[in-house]
Amino acid sequence: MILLITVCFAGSLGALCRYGLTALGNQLFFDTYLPLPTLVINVLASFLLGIGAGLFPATTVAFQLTSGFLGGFSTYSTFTNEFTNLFHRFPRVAASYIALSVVLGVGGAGLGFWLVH
Amino acid sequence: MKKIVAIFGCAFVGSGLRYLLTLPGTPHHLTTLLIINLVGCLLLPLITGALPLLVPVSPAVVTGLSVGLVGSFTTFSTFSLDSLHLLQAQAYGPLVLYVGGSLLGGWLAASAGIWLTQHWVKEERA
Repeated sequence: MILLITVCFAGSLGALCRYGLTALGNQLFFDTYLPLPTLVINVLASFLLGIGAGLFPATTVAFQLTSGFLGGFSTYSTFTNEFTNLFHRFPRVAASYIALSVVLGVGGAGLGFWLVH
Repeated sequence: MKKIVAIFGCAFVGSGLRYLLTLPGTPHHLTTLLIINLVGCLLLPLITGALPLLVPVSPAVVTGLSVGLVGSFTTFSTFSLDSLHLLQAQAYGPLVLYVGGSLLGGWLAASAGIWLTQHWVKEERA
């Protein structure tokens, strides 16, 4: 029960970090069509979760907390809705966004895992 | 400040729901996570677009539910890590199904959500 509440708390902190970084990113990259804030957040979260997976076995409390925080920090629903909206107007940007997110996300997780394992 | 509190509270619930559904040792981890992510893709446009038209809600509640609840319920980092595990295990069939299902399914779910929202917007204006 304490673990559940701690994981929820970690997820909330992750979500607030995402909200803050997205707001900051939208001010910095306002003139790009590519949703850079979400891309950076998701790739960074994948990289950090790769490190977590390399350091802690999946059943440990440490991994659950890492996964909870990064699960709140990263988001799949925003990523999908961004590329779906982009498809209608800028199909190439949408395709690049998907390719970059998946390749850098999985690659980032692999890099993080490899660095510490 | 209201938005911060709303995001915190909603993300608390969203993270907890995902954690309980994907506890270590739970069977069908990949299928569960896929469904979680697809449900989130469908819900997001409904919350940001349709909900404020159907019921009177404050912007803070909409931000809390979209950024907090749905944003934390769905996850990209575990999607990446799961895909990496499938790649490392050389399970190429499941990898293609998982990544393809997440992307194609996500696109369909988001499109359905956007379509339903536009439908409701038209009804409201008619």
